[in-house]
Amino acid sequence: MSKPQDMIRLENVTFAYPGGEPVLKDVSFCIPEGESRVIMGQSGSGKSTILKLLLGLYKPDSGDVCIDDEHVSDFTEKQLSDVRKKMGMVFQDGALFDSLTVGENVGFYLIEHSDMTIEQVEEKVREMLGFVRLEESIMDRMPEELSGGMQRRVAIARALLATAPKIMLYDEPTTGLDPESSTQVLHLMDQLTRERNIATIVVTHQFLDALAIADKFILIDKGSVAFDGSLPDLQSSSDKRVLTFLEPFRASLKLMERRQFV
Amino acid sequence: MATHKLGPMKNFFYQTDQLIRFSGRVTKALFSRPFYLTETLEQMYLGGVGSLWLVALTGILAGQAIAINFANELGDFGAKNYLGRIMIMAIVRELGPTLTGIMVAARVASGITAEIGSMKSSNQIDALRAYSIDPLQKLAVPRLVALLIMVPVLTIICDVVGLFGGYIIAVLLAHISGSLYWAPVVEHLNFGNITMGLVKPIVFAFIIAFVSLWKGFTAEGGAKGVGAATNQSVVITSISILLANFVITQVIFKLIKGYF
Repeated sequence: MSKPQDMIRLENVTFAYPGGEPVLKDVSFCIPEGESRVIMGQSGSGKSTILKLLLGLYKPDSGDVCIDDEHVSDFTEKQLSDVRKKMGMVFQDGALFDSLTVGENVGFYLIEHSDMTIEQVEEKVREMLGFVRLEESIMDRMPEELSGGMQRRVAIARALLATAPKIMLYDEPTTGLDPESSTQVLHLMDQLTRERNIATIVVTHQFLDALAIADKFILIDKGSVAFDGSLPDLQSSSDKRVLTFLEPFRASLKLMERRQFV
Repeated sequence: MATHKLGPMKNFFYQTDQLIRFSGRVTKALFSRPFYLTETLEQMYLGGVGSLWLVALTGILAGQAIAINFANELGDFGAKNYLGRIMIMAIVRELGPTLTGIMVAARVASGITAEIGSMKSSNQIDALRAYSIDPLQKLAVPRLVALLIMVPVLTIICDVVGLFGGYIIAVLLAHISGSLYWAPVVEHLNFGNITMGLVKPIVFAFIIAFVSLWKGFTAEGGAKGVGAATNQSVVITSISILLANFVITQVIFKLIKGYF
């Protein structure tokens, strides 16, 4: 069986915001198609910056960002536009456009970039809302009228309808959600990764949610990769940075192991 | 850039440099495609029609106050007939454009900075870029174009209402006939006064748009940061309008003095 192709590859990426200290230092990892990685770390460790580098919203100071075998670090906005068609991004808190209705949010990309009629876009929006298990009746509602969980699912629907993504990027997808909404969002993310063979990166500091969706884990500590590997390797790691990060979750992990959840 | 590390003077020059660069990028976007007509019309309605009552009220009250002052002073010299001439100078050249600029700055600039700033802090600007939409094209250009159209229109309305306010005072308090008030107004509606009265609002529109958009796009630090940026936006815009008013008056007098 041939090894799956790497969809995402970061090689020795270093990045600093203008005038500041480096947020990321010599970061390298790769993700094959159909696999998911959860990037974990403390707040301000540079997790979300990695997603924005992948989208081309920032350019690395050094190193290389490779998306589906294309070296995108020096791409122009126009070239990036083509690369972004392969990626769906779900921002923290959904980042739905608050001046648009739910329907307009979900169909945003098609309205802006396709020649489809409004009726055709609406049909696609209905299909996509059904896929993320939301009722059509919310199409005319404004984002602030929805619960946090519904907003995240609308954001996923927007990302899926925008492109036919080979890569999905999620920034804190379950933060602030109640357990039921979290489970629904995690289910949907897992379904997308498995059924559509999508390479997935999830940035989160909700470690227990990460267990539900991750094939492997990356731990970022002070801008550097402290760990990149599977859950058993993570649990058996003797790296001080890993031990410090896992400390608050030890009790939950032991309980889950005992009950054979992991 | 960590601007808190800079001294006040260096910070001032750094911020000015950033504002000029940002203005250049917005101006470049103004001449690029696509042009978002629906958003532009929406902004014209929100900024223009929404400011109408405020500008009209300001215009009529200011016009009446000036007319009372001048009517009293001119009366001492038996020169009440000059009220219309003085009113057109005061209103069309100075107060109409400046008051409109300040009112729009207070109402619209604060709204633009708050809206764009909150879009930035909730990642909506990044979301636009992720969907291959240029935020300057989608958000900045419609607001700039709307202001370039609506500030001159509002200024003309403020001028007309202000002159009408002067007319009410002229007739009711100064006891000047309507024709004696309006004749010099029409006579002095010349090239010089019209140029002065229209160049100023166009420059003010650029100032309001560039400063408010720049403050919105660079707002940081969540709700508190957006609040501070909104406050700064109104202060910088208002001071810049007053400064620009002085400079434009000087320049236009030098260039077309013979046309007044």
